[in-house]
Amino acid sequence: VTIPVDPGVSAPTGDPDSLLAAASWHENLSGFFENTATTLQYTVGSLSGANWSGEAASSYQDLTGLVVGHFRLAATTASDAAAALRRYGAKLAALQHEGVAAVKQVVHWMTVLNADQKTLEKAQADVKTAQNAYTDAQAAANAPITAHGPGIVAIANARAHQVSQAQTALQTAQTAERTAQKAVNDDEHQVHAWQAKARLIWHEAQNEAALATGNLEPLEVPPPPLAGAPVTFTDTLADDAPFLAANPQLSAPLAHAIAAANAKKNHLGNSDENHDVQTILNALNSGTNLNDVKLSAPHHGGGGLLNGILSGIAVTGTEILGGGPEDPAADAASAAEVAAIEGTSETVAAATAGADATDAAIEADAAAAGAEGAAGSAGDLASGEDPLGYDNVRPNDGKSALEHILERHGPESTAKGAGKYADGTTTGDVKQLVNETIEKDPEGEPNTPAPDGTPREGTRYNADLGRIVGKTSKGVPTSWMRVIVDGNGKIISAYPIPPQ
Amino acid sequence: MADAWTVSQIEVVTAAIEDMAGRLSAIAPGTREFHGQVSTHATAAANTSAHEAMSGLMARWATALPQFAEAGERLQAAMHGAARAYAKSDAAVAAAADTRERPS
Repeated sequence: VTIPVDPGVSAPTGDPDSLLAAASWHENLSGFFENTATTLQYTVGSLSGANWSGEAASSYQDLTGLVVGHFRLAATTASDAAAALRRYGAKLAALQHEGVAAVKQVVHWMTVLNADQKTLEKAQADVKTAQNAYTDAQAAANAPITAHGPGIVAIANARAHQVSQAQTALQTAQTAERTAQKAVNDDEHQVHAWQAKARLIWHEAQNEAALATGNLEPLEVPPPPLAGAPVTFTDTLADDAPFLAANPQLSAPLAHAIAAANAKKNHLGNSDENHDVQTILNALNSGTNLNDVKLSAPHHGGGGLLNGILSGIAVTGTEILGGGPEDPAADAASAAEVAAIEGTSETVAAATAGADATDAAIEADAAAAGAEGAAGSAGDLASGEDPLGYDNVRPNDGKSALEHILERHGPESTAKGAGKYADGTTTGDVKQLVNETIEKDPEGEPNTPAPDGTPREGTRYNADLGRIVGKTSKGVPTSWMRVIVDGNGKIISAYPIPPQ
Repeated sequence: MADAWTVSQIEVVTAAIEDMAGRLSAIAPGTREFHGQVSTHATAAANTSAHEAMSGLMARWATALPQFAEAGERLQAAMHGAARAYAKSDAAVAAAADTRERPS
């Protein structure tokens, strides 16, 4: 479009269609992220509990929970961007429409003004001409009359008529001039009014752009945690390395449990059992099929690793790799170690309880405490100053219950898969936390049965203490505590746990 | 007792996990498709004062989307890895069961 005159204003610039296309893109992206989050959530929901449990399942659920959160956040970000862009695109389209119309009006009235100005100029010239004619007519009328021809009266009438005509012509010209001037004035008013409207539209578009800027600039798109630390989150499930070999926290408990079971079955000593543990670990690390591994079995003619062991283990679920909310695999490892030392049926059951590592941990600790009781620490048991038996000595390692708790769960502990107390937590603090936990959950819950279904005495107390007490076995800050006591009310263990 | 080993729970879980891995397979390609369209929209606010904000947002998407795609791949791979691990365990259990039931 060729604009014949410069209107002095312009319609808002930009491409509303592109903005609306970007809005649609963000809406689609938001929908995609939402669907993805739903799918991820669905996988967690479908593969949980009885369907899939244990360390791998727990890791996947934790991992997915983090990723789902980021996908949902990204969906919200995209949705917010879409809303901002759709508003801006729609507003800009409307304002451009109005702006173009206003500019066209400016151009129109400028064109009209130009024409009316020419009309005015002509009218002004006509007035001037008429004015001169009128002046001349008056001058002629006032000139002396020389008596000849038609007579003096006739001459005077003729002069008066000319003056009248000149006056009428002048009045006509002046009327035309006033009309032209009014038209010009009206045109100028229209030009200024439409220019003002165009400027308002421009500023409104600028305001919309500023609003869009304000909405878009703060939008963050935090990448999912996997991008920053993929190994940390996916090691447990990684497919680019043998599953167990890549996860010593899983393979060690399994090796200990199997070796302990084998030792018990074949009445092996600690040396053979430790050798078997290493053999199993070597096999796991090299990806060797466990069935091809030979364990120490002096009373047997051979057979696969699982041969003869499985007959003594109830494989009722899929948690053969360990699982549980607090300290699944590592506690199972501890259980296996205790089993190797003590060789009791109870602790061996715990050692082989990879299927329920949490229970195994309780079992192992309970066994240790039980053994301690059998060792005859009657003084401590009867002591009113230590009603929970913090100072009771564990026969397997010579440590007190409190020492065990601090060693495994203290702030400086490096034990894998164990909940840890917060930095600066003292023994007094631990006792205080234990007391608070029992006070908040006075009923507690019975210790879960052993993997073979044998009931176990004792109680577990779980409570939210309302402040961060440490970190879970996953390293997540938590305000929850668990206290485990045996059938005599003596403490076995106490440590931070995930929210229940 | 033999029936208990015929179709172990591990086997069922393996199939379920593989199924879930399949469901996750659309994350990465879908995300990458969006990533391929980022540049198209980076100039959507050209000739406006919102251009910088718009291009900045699209730049952030350009950075993040591949990471979301990677997350999808990692999750899918994790599921496959878990399924393989369970399948391996399943095979080990089945083999052990066969050995156990073999007449001596």
